[in-house]
Amino acid sequence: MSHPSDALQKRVAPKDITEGLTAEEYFLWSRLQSEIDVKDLLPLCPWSEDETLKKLESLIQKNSAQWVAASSKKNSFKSSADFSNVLDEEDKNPELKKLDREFRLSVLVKESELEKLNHYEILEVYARATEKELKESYLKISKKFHPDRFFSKNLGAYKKKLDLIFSKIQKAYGVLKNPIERKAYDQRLSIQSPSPETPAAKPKKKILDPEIQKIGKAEHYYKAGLAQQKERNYLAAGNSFALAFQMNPSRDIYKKAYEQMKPLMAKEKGKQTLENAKIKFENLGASKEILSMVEEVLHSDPGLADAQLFSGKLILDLGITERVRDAKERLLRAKAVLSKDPEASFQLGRAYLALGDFKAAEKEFEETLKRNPSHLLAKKQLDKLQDR
Amino acid sequence: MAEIVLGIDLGTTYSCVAVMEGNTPRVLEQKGGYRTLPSVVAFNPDTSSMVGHIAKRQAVTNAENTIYSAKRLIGRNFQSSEVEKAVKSVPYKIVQGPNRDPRIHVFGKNYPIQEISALVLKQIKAIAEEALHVKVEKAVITVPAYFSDGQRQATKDAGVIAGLEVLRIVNEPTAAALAFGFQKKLQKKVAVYDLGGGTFDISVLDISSDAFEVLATAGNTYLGGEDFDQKIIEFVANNFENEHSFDLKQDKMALQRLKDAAESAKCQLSSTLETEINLPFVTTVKGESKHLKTSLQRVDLERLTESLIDETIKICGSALDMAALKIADIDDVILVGGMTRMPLVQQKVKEFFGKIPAKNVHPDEAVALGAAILGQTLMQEEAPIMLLDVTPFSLGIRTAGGFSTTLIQKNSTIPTEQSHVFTTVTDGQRSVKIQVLQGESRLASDNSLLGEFTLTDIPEDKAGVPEVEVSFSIDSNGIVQVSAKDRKSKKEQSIVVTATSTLSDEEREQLSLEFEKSDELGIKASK
Repeated sequence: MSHPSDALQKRVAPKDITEGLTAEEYFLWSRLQSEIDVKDLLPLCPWSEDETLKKLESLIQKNSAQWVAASSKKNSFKSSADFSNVLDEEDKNPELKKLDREFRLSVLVKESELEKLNHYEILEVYARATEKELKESYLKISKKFHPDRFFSKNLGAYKKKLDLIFSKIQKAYGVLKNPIERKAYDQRLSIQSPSPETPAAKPKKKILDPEIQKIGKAEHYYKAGLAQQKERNYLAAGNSFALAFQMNPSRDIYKKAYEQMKPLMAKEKGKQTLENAKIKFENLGASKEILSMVEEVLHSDPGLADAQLFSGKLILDLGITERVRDAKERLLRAKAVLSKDPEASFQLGRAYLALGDFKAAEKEFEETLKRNPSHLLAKKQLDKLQDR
Repeated sequence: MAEIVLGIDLGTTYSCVAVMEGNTPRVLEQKGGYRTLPSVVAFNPDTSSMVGHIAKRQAVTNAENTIYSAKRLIGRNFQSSEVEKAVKSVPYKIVQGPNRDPRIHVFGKNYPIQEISALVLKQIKAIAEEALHVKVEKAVITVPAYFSDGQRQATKDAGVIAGLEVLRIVNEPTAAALAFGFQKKLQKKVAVYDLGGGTFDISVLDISSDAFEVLATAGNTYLGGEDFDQKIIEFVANNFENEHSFDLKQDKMALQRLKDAAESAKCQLSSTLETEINLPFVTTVKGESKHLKTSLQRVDLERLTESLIDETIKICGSALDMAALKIADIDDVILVGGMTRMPLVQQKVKEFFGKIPAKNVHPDEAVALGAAILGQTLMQEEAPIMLLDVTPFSLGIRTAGGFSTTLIQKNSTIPTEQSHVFTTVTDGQRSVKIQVLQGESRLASDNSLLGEFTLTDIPEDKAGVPEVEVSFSIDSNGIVQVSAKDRKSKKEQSIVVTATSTLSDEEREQLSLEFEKSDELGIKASK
């Protein structure tokens, strides 16, 4: 990699080898999931751009990840140059010329891409965007392509184009703004990617013996599963293998594939459980039930820093005195991995406080403020400690 | 100078007009300092007409020929329950028009409702031109958020007949929110509670600086101040009948006097605890003059109308549900419409939202001000604000088995388009009938029919083989267009759905020509 900005254009995919990785590298590796654009990876990591790129390079050297070609669908997009002729032609029309050329270009580009883009891409956000980021981007994109934006001008053929684009934007946001629909959509997205559905869906008209059909379907599911496994989408892959086995129990490889997938599925499920626990926590506050959910996750995936942090916090919130030591232990590890997260050090500070180690607590609250200078709670705690 | 755009709040009982002056919207006053105009039209035997305050003042002596509350009829079907209700309660005569539309029968002539509204709009245009000393042609007109496609289309037609270029039909609560948040850089979720003379709307908006996003809207287009008046009328008339064994409602002039008295008593009871209704010589029973004199207390009014207010609160709850918000998520509540002056309305809204409603919004003027703001921003080089409004109803088509298949969900952001592929149900079927439905029910018969058309000449084939693509679009005015295309023959048909709008293009054109003529005459006479 010669120049960092080159790297931003690239895509990276994880490999199955994770030996010899540092905790931070492991964290980075865990963020890769399946393929991902480097520019989308950056916001998922707690480090600066340079640092992340450096770690990524080391990950590749250790053979835990690899560069992949930017996906083929991206390459098929037209570039602005393809439209310069169209725009030149339009410029001869005095009415259209009044419409900003830059704006027309963006409409033409968006229009040509519409069919290929998924909901996230239409809204120009990455798939892990928070609700707030999603909304911000939605408003920005809506404003850009709103049919009212140049109401006073004669839009000509652009009126229809804008209506269509705007309509697609609304549809995309309509799905993604609803957490339940978004989740379902995410699952559909990951199954869709290598499009194994199409070959089976198309020859609908041929009527086959149901048994033969079943065998064919089983094989189809198995292949879909393999593709999903390659994409590291283990949950979907596991389900596909299970379905294949169910349709055609006589083939051992289906069962084997499923068995193999089980531990990975557990890991994947763990991450989902953690997400659910977080949602529950936001809605209902801390409870022992949520804590046991998170500990279940830690049990199957002890390295998950998010779960360590969250379970530590829950122990402290619930005031389970006999387990504060566990909390401290976990938070120490979480803090090391999440080296920029103010929450990790803040919670650790709380743990020290609960253990009566005021010096250490003070240090952690200071660290919190270093990580986030406007952390009010840390400030408050620190003031209290310094008053003593 | 940028072109002037009028912001017109065309209300059931009162209308209001505003324009932008620089960056501030301002209500235009009429002669005599009035800031609102009664939406009342009265006809003389020679078919000339009066509009506004003079029409309202002569209503008592000319009840049969004085038209008020046209907005409650516009764009509706003659057979609808709302028109039926109106027929019973108004002193003028409503008859059925050629397209099952209600028309008003005065001095031997049947007037489409659009024409009545157009007369009000024309008066508003004249008021504006007099106040500004320039000709104005462009306007943004507001309608209740819960108005259907047909009601919007009819309102737009009325504007066109009155000689206005209608830039936009915009929802009243949305306009009010615009007046509330324009240039204030707010980050707030607001609920607009709009209880006017004839309609109730609740809209929930998310304002992010210059973006106004409607999250959900709900309402009832037949619930407003007039229904409060009606409760008083019935109460007083009942008491009178008990005493004198005579139904006052049979006497048109008495009913008109009672209506005026009920309205003013209602308004007074917003500031006092007790008022008097005093109508000497209200009617004659068996040759003997009768007087009506009774006192009315605020508690009486509240007891009579509490159920109406509770109905609005119920609708507020469903709007929040649709917006997926909790009551606590609402930062501000805005009250719009004259009826929100009633203390019990304010109290119930306050109780429900747990908040004191915002004070800096004028209940009679906010809607017109917001419309003026929208008008100006649309005319600018690049619109500085963004409105994301929604459609209040689900739209679909009737499919085999009497079901309704929804194509556009209610509360979808507009403009929007949606298409779906349908097919034939019998072998060799050559045509399909497309029935456009509005409403939330899965059964077609429970939804209202907006319009229908038939796609013909489908190439003969087995059932289920032809592919008919039906596309719906709703424009920024909330007006629906539907088209159907046979994919094989590429034959296409489309309609602007106008089943309830009921004016054919020729008829509309004819009317605007007549209006232009009268316009010319008017100018010559004043020279």
